[in-house]
Amino acid sequence: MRIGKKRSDKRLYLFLILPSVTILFLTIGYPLINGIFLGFHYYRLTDPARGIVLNGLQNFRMLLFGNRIFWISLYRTFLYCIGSTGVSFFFGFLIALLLYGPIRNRSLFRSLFLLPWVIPSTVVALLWLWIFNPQYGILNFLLKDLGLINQFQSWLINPSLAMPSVILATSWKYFPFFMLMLLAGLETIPKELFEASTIDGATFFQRLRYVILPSLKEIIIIVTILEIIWEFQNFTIIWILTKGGPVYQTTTMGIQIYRTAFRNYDMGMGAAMGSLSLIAMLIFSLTYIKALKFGEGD
Amino acid sequence: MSHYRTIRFVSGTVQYIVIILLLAAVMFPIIWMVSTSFKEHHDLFETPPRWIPRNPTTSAYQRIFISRAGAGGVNFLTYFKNSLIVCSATVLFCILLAIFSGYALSRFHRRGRKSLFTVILMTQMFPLPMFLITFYIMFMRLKLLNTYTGLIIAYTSFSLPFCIWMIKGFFDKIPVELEEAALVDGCSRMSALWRVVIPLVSPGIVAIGIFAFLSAWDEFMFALTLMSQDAMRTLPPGIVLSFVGEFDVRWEDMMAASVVATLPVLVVFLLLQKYLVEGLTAGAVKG
Amino acid sequence: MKINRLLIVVVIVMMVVFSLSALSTAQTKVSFYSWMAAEVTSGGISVLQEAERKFEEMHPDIDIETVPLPYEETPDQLAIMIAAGNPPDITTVDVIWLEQLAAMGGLEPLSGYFSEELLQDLFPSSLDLGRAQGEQYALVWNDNPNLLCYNKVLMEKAGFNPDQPPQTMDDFNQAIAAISGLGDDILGIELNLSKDSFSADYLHPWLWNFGAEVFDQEGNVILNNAAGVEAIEWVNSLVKNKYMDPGLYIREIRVIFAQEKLGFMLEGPWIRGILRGLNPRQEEFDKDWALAPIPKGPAIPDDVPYGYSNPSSHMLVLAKDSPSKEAAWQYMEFLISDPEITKTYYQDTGLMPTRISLLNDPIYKDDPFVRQVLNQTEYMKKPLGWGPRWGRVGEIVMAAVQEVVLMGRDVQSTLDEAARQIKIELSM
Repeated sequence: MRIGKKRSDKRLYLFLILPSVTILFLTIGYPLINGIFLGFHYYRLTDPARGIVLNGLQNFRMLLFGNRIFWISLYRTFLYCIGSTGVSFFFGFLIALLLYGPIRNRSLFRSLFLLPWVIPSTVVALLWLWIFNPQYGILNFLLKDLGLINQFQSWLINPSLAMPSVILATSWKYFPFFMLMLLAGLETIPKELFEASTIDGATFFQRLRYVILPSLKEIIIIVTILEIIWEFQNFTIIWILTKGGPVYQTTTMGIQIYRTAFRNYDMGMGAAMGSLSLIAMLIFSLTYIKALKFGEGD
Repeated sequence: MSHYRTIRFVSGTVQYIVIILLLAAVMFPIIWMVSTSFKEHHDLFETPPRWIPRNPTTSAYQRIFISRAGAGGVNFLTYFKNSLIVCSATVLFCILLAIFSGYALSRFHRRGRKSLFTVILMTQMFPLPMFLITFYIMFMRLKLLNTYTGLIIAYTSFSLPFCIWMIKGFFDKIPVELEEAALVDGCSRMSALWRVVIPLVSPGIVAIGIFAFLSAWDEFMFALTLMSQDAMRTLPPGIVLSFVGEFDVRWEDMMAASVVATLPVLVVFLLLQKYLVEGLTAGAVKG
Repeated sequence: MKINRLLIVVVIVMMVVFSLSALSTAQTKVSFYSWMAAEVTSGGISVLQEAERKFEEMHPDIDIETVPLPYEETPDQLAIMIAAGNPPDITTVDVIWLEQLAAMGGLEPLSGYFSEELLQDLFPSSLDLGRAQGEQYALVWNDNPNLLCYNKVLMEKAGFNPDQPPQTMDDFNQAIAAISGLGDDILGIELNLSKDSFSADYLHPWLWNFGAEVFDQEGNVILNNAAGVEAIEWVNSLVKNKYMDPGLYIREIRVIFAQEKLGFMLEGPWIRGILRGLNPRQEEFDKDWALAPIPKGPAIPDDVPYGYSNPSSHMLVLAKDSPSKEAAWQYMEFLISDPEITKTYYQDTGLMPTRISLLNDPIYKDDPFVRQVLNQTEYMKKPLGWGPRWGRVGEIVMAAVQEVVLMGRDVQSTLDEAARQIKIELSM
């Protein structure tokens, strides 16, 4: 009796897969189609007399060539995604390497390092808002005591510090994800590989380059791409911390779409921006996957 | 244990010190959160701030649990209850649907793990703010605004693709021969799935459960929009809406609420973390 | 068979979830969304709870549901609910959002609801603020101008008479400089320069003082004319001279004022409740600060005694789709009319009633605080730019101001670019 060959199997397959497909179509497919459709329309909540009118590529032309806000927010989104993924990857990997081995209290350390990840985003954002407070926030006092800054900084309002501050808060929440995944990856590397490299007298960095990174390549690609996409969507942390300010320093796509649609009540433009950001994300992630040659031989 | 030593790039003591330093950097916001939650409002603004409150008080906790409420009389426990209901139901549906489709995909498309991953990735890429208005209108027509059902449906569909991908990794590892043997023994397909396969993927089920729970516990924007009645709000919007007014922010109340909002996930997570690790890596790591 | 059993489980689970979410009652329900119910410090919560209780005793058939919704989330959430045709029965709105909300068509025109007695009992200016798109859409709850809020103790320390606040821009600039000189941690003035469009509204008294506006009467963008540049240069000079920290927004500004480290800020009458909540001395702190009219700038006509204030009145609006408009209107009228409730509201928050008959009560009449606010109310005007798209325009203006004060950009070219952006935006 072979599974997957019979006709009744086909029916079973449909029975198993249909509920998920239905719910996904209703809650992801339909809103997506609706959103793309809306992008080709004039639809302002403040203009109900005109209602929803087809206006072709008008919205897209405005975004791409009219005002600079689309390009600014695209650039800011990439800074934010790359920045927060990079920082959390670096610390996640570093801590994974440190914790890989016979350390005393290893599982206690691992649990403590994981803590930020389970804290809800709203809480993370509010907590950092309080930490970054220019007058009473603990960060200013801490850094001044350590001699790292001379005077108090307005972390979220100084144009050159706002993006790094937002990235810091985001990375604090997400580095444990990398730590967890990379630690699990490290543990699957066969001992023999390490033993062989020890006999060769390889230095740590040689081992990192020739043993660890190649073994972890696939998992690194998967976690970084997932993280980039999740950060691309991240709205809560930035919205609570800066609402996209100062000027446009932390205005990412998600923030700008929300502002356009729900602060300026321009649904058509917001939807068009959503479609463009989707295209941008698709191009970026497919290039990333291609460039790293993920999925060869499958 | 020998290969462990070989991966070290610094001596044991240095390694330990680096870990402790990093840990201090990671933990200070959490300690600050807890410390703030035990302060009086006026003590928040003293300079320099104290790590240990001058007059430790639980008044913030008392306010959020007992007297503190919106004018409608809803308190923090209601938000907590709502979050628990929505998150548990989301977990249930995610598990159920993910088992069904993960199994189907695994048994009927044994190959294509990576193309499935690409599809999953795409479902995660859609800009959610763009969905908000469609969701609102759709849910209003279906009379799902201000109901648990509405939010549960939304959260289930956001987590589902990733859950399917994770659980498929588990199903892929289980040899078809096991099921085929059960079929030969006279089991039906469903009972073979139920009795033979499901027990083997139980770590995966726990993993997707945690993932779905964490994501649902975290979500803010849809909860804010789809639940406009105070009595139906979940924790994230509840905290933001109750403690951030036009005029001021009650940091100590907010931090107390934050501590309480974090505790249940923390407990769930610490108890079950090894399954989540296994689940996340089953999909990603070759196995 | 086994498949069926599974199906049954799924159905049962779904039914349980559905039944959990069912809710129903027989009374007339009226939902009331207000940020005043989200405020602890400002004292709004307890009064609104009391109002709800009292009204429900008087009208047992009506069930009021008061929902706290923060100020910042109100315009977005209300827009979503209006767009979907499901707004709350009553909402508290800031007058600055009224044009946009009215344009959405979700608000009930109120002309038919006002009784003759009520019309006689309101100032014409209050009624006018409730008009948008040529229709009466809102009932003014509290008629709030913005005033100069100053610290009397710091004024005195800096060598000025604490009971004679600055009347002209020259006096004002001197006082700011002198107060800033009192210490490293003392700031002369704080203006809220956040990116939100309400900050653009708060900028208007200073724009007007220099004769600037975002738009002229015909709707042309004139922000970048000589007067506009002068006004923004003035704001920038406050930052350059370190009289002002542009890194503080409204909440932090209020905290440092309550800490007695700030000379001047622009605030409305609500500030009393807030400062009592923020300063450990609570009501004692009242005597250390005062509200004063906006200092008069060179561009203000001679027959006007002060600078003009922008309105930030709190209003009540009724939803067009509300199933219980009569009951909702009764509650709106109750909120602005009940002598006890409005009195407690005034005492707790500093926000005074709008009904003339109520204001005749000695508690208001003999209070210099009220006098001061009412004086400024006479010299309050709407920014010319108000309209359905003011939100986006305000954001562009504030982004330009931030580029100047935070990034040190040139004022003229930054305002030119902002004017260009506004034109592009409005051409669509």
